[in-house]
Amino acid sequence: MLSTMKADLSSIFSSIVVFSIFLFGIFTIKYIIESSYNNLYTIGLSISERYYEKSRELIIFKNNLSNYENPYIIIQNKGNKPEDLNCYKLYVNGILTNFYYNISKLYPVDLLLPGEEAIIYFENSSIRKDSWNFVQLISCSGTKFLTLIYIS
Amino acid sequence: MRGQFATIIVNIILFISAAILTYLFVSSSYNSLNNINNAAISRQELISNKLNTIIQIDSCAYDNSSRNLILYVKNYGNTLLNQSNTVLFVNGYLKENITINLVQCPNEINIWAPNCIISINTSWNSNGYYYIKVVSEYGVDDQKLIFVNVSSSICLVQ
Repeated sequence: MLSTMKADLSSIFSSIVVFSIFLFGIFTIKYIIESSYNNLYTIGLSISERYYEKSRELIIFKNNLSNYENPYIIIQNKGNKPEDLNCYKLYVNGILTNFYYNISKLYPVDLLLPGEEAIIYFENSSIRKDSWNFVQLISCSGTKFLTLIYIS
Repeated sequence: MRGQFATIIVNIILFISAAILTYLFVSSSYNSLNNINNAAISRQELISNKLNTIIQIDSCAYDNSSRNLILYVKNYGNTLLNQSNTVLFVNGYLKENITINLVQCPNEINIWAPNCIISINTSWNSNGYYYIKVVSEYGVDDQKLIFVNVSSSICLVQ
């Protein structure tokens, strides 16, 4: 009788332990899968947002000649996204250069809307006169638009 | 009667022992699960910080007068970075003696804020193609191939 009861107790005890181990395993797997899913989802969302923004940007350069005293470059927004030129950066021959701009507004907002043109006037401190100069215009999201401009 | 009473006592003792052992096991398992959960949350925060921290080597220039290479790196993310924790590797080797300055920062604080550019100046006297890698906080980095021609004062980011 006693041995039967002992056996019952030990089987109850071991089943509790086994069930606890099972629960522990299940929760561990759940946390790992949840964490991996959340990480992948966050990474995927971030990458897709970044490339979506970049894929909508297209700036073309309209001139390739300018003068040393008052150098400028004309750009047109050929993308399908309004561009804020305030956060654009201009590099002339690799050197960060200050600029100001004037948008030929078709619609009264301070953004460069698709189809609109703007003239960018920039400093001549890094310009090589009577030579081709390498101009990089970099958008707010980091898209590069490159051209050469001859400055006489 | 005495035998039955003894059996009941033994059963009670065994049951209490089993309950205590089960409690110990469950509580330690719960702690382990909690630790795993916290680790997963920390990892997710770290990944989120890493994703929100984007730096890009935008341009480079060679200054012939000072024989310095200048790299312009912009913070495209939305986290504040400490520019002094930024390091430069050239072809995998750590480049020492670099000078980092904030350039055209929209705010007045002395920190590498979003949309802010730093210039990394380092002495340079060789021509050719080089892999440069800028590593910032959270292990965020950007690697580019650059072409340098010292005599023509040219540096191009590929």
